[in-house]
Amino acid sequence: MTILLEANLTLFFGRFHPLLVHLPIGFIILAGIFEMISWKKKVDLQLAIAYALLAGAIFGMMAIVLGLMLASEGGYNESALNAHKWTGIATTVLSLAAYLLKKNLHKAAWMQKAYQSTLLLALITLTVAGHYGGSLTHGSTYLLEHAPGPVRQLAGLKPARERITVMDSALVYDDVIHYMFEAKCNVCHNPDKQKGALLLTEPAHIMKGGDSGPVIVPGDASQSELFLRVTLNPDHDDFMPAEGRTPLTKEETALLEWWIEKGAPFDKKVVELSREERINGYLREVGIGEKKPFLASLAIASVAREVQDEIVAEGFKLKTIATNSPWLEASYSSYNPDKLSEQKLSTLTNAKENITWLTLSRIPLKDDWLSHIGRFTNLTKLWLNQTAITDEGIKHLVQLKNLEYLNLYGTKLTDEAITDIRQLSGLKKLYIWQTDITEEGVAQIKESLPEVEVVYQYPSL
Amino acid sequence: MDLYNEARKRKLEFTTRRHFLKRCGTGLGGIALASLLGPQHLLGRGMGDNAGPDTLPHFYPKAKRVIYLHMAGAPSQLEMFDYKPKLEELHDLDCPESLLEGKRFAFIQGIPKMLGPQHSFERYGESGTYVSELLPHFSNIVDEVALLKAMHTDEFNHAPAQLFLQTGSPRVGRPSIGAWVTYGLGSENENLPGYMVLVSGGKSPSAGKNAWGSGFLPSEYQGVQCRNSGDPILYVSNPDGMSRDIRRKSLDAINAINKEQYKEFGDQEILSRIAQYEMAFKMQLSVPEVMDITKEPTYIQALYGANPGQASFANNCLLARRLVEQGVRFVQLYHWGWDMHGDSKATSLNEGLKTKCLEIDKPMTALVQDLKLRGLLDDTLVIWGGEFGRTPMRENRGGRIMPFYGRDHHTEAFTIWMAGGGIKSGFSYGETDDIGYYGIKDRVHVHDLQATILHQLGLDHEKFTYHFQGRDFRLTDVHGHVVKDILA
Ligand code: HEC
Repeated sequence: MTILLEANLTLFFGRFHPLLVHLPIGFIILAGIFEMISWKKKVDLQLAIAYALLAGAIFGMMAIVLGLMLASEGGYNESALNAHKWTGIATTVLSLAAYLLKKNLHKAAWMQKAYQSTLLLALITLTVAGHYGGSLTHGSTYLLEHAPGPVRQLAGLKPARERITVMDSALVYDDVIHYMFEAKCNVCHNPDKQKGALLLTEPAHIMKGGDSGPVIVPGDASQSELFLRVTLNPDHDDFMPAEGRTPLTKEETALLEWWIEKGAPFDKKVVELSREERINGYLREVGIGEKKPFLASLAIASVAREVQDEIVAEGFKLKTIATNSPWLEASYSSYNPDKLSEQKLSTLTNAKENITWLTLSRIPLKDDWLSHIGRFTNLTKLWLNQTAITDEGIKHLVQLKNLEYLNLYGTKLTDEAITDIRQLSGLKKLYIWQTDITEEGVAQIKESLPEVEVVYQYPSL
Repeated sequence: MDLYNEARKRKLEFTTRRHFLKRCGTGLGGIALASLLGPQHLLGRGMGDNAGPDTLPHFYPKAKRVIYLHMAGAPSQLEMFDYKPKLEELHDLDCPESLLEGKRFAFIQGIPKMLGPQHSFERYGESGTYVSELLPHFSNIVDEVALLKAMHTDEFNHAPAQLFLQTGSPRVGRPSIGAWVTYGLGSENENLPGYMVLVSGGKSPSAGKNAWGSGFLPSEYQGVQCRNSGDPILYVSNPDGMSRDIRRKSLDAINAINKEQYKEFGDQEILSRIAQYEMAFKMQLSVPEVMDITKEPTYIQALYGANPGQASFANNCLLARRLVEQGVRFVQLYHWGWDMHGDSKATSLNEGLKTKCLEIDKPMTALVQDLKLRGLLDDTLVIWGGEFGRTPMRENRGGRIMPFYGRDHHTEAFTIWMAGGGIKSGFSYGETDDIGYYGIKDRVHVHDLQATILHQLGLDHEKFTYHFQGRDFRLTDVHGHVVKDILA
């Protein structure tokens, strides 16, 4: 018994309201549908309709009781709650009335008319009650949140602000903090449902705070109720978001702390606030200033199964670089007793758009074979280390503008190759250890490709 | 026969077949129903249903292979990486009670003394990273690595802690991380095992072979341990008088029989066995060649400090590079003897630790440099570390003063380093308090490390599961967060 006494039973049962409430809704709508069917098709559904109405009324009453219990928890917008409560009660009463009328239809002629309008009215109040109920759980703007601009305007809502994700112009509050509150907090802290009397939708309200006064102390996260609430142990009663909803991620928490520490500004741009390197990382994590890697920016079709099989039959290994990705990595093993040939390479060109990593290490490649590889325009990584290629071969590669990684170590390249290498404008890493390229050559490469890291020897070697 | 056993035997005699059928009627009915509804799920799912190699990796991998240098015994972070001048000041003072309350140690009893760092530190590289005098070579490559200084674990004894690190669970029976990875991604080279284990002589890790076991995964994903002398892998060469042809023919015959058996029983392990025989046959050609480090030019051998023919960490580092170069997915090295309790010279922080550092400093540095020069560091993830850390207090086993300076096991703080494989370089992540007792910022748990390793290989540690005995298992169980802060 003590267990029952200790627990807050009103709240316990109250929480079942959203679950139960769908029963009366279903029954009453069912009655409406049956009524239409029997009117059109002349089937006898009278008894079924009567029972549906009765069931609607009974479950409706139960839903009302649970609903009142839930409302006692508080934190809901008064007017929305009132509208929901009274339309809900009306629906139940009307449903009961319709049932009684239905049962007694034959007794008086006026009852037929009264029945029809009662049922119609019940269906209307049901819709209204449902709508307010939805607003209470999800906030009144929920329905039209993703509506197209004109529709939102018609409904008197502000046109949705397109989130700015470019680092230089993104706003700290609108694009980072507000965005986060909307996603994680505002189902409970919105004008229709101000849990803890706290509204997290507008700057003024955020600064005003809730039941316990201001929740943000600009410049001091450790004194800010709001920050403390999200950094408590998730099992703690006061932890936010409540009720086991998805908590803020580590990155989001750090950004919140950063924003409060910087004085919780509402109109500043991200770049106007000083930030450590790690904050930039967190911003990328929530979608600000993210640089899409080349592979993610391009949408191409996958290579047909048969084409892939053909390539594999030639002795290549072929594999998508990730599940459901059109991108392929291809390699040819230097252990393969069947040696690589130009004809095999030309088969590989059937997938030339899709192959983005290609490994031909330790293969006795001929220079002019590289003309095939020069056509793999989406290649980002290429391993030609310890192959027989010379400066002549590199000439064929100058079109590979997306190439980021090029491994040429252990080849016979000399400074003659520099002019061609310098044209690989996408290059980030170049490996030329154990080649005859000189330090001057390296300096020249770095001159035209300042971004590239050239690895050619270790100081201690 | 004693009374107890007699009574038991009698009781068992009453348990007849009829009894079984009567008592288990519902259960058998349930099994029958299950077999009618979904026979394929009756005995647990087979390989095909699991996220096998076909559906992996989940996303673009940054790393394609891993070299894990495990220092069994747990090196002292306080003498190698985590410099604590404050501890120096407290040297030889009694440890405050507040640090001991509610704590359990492996050996420390009563009130131990604080123990200052036993070796001097200096800053190195553009990153200004502290490294101790014990690692003069490593100090040259601090800008290539990321130090994780606030690692922590749950286990304070060697065997469970090693298992925890390698398998995600302190108890025997889970697949090791190398087995998970090779199961998920396969090998890049069909002539070599995907998962190789190199132990540098001395003692084997306390967790034993379970540390590279395959648990409930098909046994072909178990780590293959290489030997330091003789055949690198046991029985890799044919016995006298057995030619390669005869070997091939006998294998074909055995495989045919095995396939018949598989048709009859459908046991996954039979397929594993066939695959293993085939792998072994190919390995007979490739292994002797790849494992032969005398094939390396002398200046490379010198760079690592390798001594072909002897058991050493240096040889194994060089071998590890040769193996990843050939596409081996996961190379696991174990070095031994890091358990510096101070009960003998060999386990003292002043002498023993020096010897150990001497054994690894040059080779591990050479490994990173060599991988870098060959362009392999970009997609090879190198990890160095022990299974836990060591206390800032001096060990006082049984309340006695130990003959040498030593430290006890410590779960709350230790340092590991990572290099390559899409990890940021030239920085330290995480901080410990002034005496190196607790991590106070950016702590990384063992499960977080595992999640991060899988992440770099393109695997989502929450989705990468194997169905066994009615439930889906993960390497990280229900824990672990990818440490995004250290990703390049
Ligand atoms: C599931 C509903 C729910 C969600 C989601 C939720 N909260 Fe709350 N919040 C509550 C309730 C209920 C209270 C009042 C009870 C209390 O003080 O714990 C409250 C109170 C608060 C308070 C204290 C207000 C005061 O002045 O006492 C703060 C601050 C707060 N929430 C912040 C947040 C933040 C930040 C988030 C998003 C990360 C969030 N909440 C998400 C339900 C929620």
